Amino acid sequence: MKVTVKQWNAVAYWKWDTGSTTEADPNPDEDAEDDVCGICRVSFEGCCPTCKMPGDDCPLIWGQCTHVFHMHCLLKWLNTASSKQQCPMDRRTWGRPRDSVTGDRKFGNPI
Amino acid sequence: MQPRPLSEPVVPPDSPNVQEAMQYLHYRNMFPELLRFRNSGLLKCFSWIEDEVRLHMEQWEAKMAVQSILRLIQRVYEWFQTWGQAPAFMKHARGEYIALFRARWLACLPPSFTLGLRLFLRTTLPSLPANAQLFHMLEQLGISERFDKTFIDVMFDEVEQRIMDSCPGMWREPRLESIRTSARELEERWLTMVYGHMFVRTQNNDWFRNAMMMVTGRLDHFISRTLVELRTSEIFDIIVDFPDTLPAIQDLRLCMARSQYRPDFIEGLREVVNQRILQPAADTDDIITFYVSLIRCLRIIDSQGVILHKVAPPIRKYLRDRPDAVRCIVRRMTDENESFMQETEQPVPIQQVHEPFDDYTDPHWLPEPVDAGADFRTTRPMDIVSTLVSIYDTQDLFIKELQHLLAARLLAVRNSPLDDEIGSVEKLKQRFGEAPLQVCAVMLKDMNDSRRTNTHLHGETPHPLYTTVISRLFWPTIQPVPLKMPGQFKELQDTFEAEFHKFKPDKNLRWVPQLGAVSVKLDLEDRTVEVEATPIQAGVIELFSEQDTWNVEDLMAKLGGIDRVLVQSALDFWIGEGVIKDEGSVYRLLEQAEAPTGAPPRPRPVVVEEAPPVDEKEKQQAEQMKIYWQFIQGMLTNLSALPIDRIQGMLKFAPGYDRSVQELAVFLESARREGLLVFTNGMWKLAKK
Repeated sequence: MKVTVKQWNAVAYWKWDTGSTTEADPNPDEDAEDDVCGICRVSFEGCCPTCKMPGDDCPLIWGQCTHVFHMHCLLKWLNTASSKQQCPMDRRTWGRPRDSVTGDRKFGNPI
Repeated sequence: MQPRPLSEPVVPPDSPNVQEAMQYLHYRNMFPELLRFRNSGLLKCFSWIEDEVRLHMEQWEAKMAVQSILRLIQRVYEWFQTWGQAPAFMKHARGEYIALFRARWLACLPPSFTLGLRLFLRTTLPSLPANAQLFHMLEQLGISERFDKTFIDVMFDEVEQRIMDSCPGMWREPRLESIRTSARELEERWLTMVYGHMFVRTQNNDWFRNAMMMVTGRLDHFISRTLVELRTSEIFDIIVDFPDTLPAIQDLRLCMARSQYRPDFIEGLREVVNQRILQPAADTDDIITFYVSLIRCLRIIDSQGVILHKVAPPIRKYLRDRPDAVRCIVRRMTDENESFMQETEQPVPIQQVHEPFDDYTDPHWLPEPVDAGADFRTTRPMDIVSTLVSIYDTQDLFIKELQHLLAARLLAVRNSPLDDEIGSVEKLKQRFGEAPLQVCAVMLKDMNDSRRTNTHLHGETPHPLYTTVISRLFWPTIQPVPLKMPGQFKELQDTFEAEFHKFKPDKNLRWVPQLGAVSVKLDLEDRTVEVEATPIQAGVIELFSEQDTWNVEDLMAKLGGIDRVLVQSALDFWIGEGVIKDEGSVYRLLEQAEAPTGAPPRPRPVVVEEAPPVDEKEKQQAEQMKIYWQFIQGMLTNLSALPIDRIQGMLKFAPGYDRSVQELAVFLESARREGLLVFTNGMWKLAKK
């Protein structure tokens, strides 16, 4: 017997590739609950308090320090005087990773 | 001068002999003596009339034939006439004679005569003019005067008969007006015939008109009451058939202008509602339909809503307790063809619905009617949707249900445009406000984005795999099934995933493999089978293309360890299609079709719907959360106030706790609504008792 798929309507959901899980992770959903923005405490896949649409309209930002936030949340933080341009998590100076945001997948590795 | 039996020949009163005798008496001035003599004779002989009455009334009671009454009247009239003959110069004594005769004969009538007269008179109605003589007799014998109530009753009987003949079941045309007209016409004819000549005698037409007016008023009441009673007994069907029954409702409105019938009407309506609607056998959808029609009908009958206010609460309470009511209402709210969504009035934002409302600037303002209860409040004029939504205290339920419904619908549509869904979400935004429907907006956006993504990845050429990529947090919770698609399905998935990752490098895909639909074509040796299947079914048959026989355990393992029930139902599906055969311990692919054996195919199991498991899961979660409530209570007692992430952090130490902060927030919020917690400055506290 030969099975031909004429049309397959499938459903999937997206997740930010935060690099905290690897492709080979056997239980990719296990840590899903933890992935919240350190500033607004909303899941990365949700949106920051000022946004209404998740996803591309409310992207994430990665810092050199490997911390990840909603971009809007972080920019708002950086715009306050008290931030001193530091990462809110570890007080290191905030900076973009040398590689492009999407280029480097291995933030999780110890520096 | 003595009365004689009718059988004896009558001496003509004006014969020469009699005249001579009378003149003699006149000369001797003995008239009073003569009258006394005559009257005593009359009384003595009255037993003859009594016998006559008894005879005819016995006949009447035995046979109930109105003819006996007629004969009795004719007969007594004959006595009356014969005895009343008197010499010309005794005419002035006639009044005395009539009074005496009437008093005596009316006194010997048994009680059953009233009914007899009533029924007899009914028979005279169709041919009133032909009975002029009869009414003269009745008047002469004093019946018209003594039994005036019966005469009116006859008219009422007739009107009631007419209503009962022409109205039951006739809801599609107005009846009230024609009944009123015909009743008025009947009344005029009847009263003129029965009492007309009395008034000619007294020449007091004003009095007659006044009397007529009183009777007319009573008749009008009577018509209204009879019609209301009739319609109350039919009210269920009338409401169910609304708006075809609009004329009947309009009639009711006119009749109910007097509020005295309202208590009975309300009582009848409540009874019907209890018997026919508020019971387990009634379909929720039907209850809602009935409720909507009821609202519409009562709006016409009583625009201030007092009746509705008295009838609706049981329905609302019942609907609140029905688990599927929200789903039904939401489904209807999003249905394009639903009539109550097409009402043109400006939708009222739901938030305002619960506020009491009195618009004193309204020139049509009316005080509350007398029969309004103490708890009656003039409410803001509401459209049907708001009324339905206001059954529930919060609109969260609706939003949640709407989300479920929309999800089911969006995942079911193929490549058709989403205009309908977008339209109904837009319409609902006007009611519920923008913010609560944000999730729906995200869902719609996901659909559009998916479309663009698929077009981008595959170009315009049709590709077998079309993937809807959803934003997980904005869709109803989907219970994970560890399904792994085998063979070519896996390849399709992998290719798509890789392409997607190239297109959106910062995002990964996670499949929800059990959702969706597959249309597959099976090329077997002697036939091809084309079917629409679920992914699990497709996965099962894909495995059969690798190998002809499988047992359930192997299939389960190959598909990622999914539930036996799911595999079993997929197998049943293919058995139903005649592609697979159950051979006891194993299932075998039928490359060649087999003639159906004697055993009937196993009945296909009922397809499990997608929505209930989600609900079930929510319930379960809520149940489990209750366990953690004690932990929360404990830590808030010790530490007085905590922000949510501290609570979450501490709960993590509790055994088996696996909730997200969002779920915890929902739970805390619900506890706050119950008055158990207070939320101030980002801190949660126990409410002070």
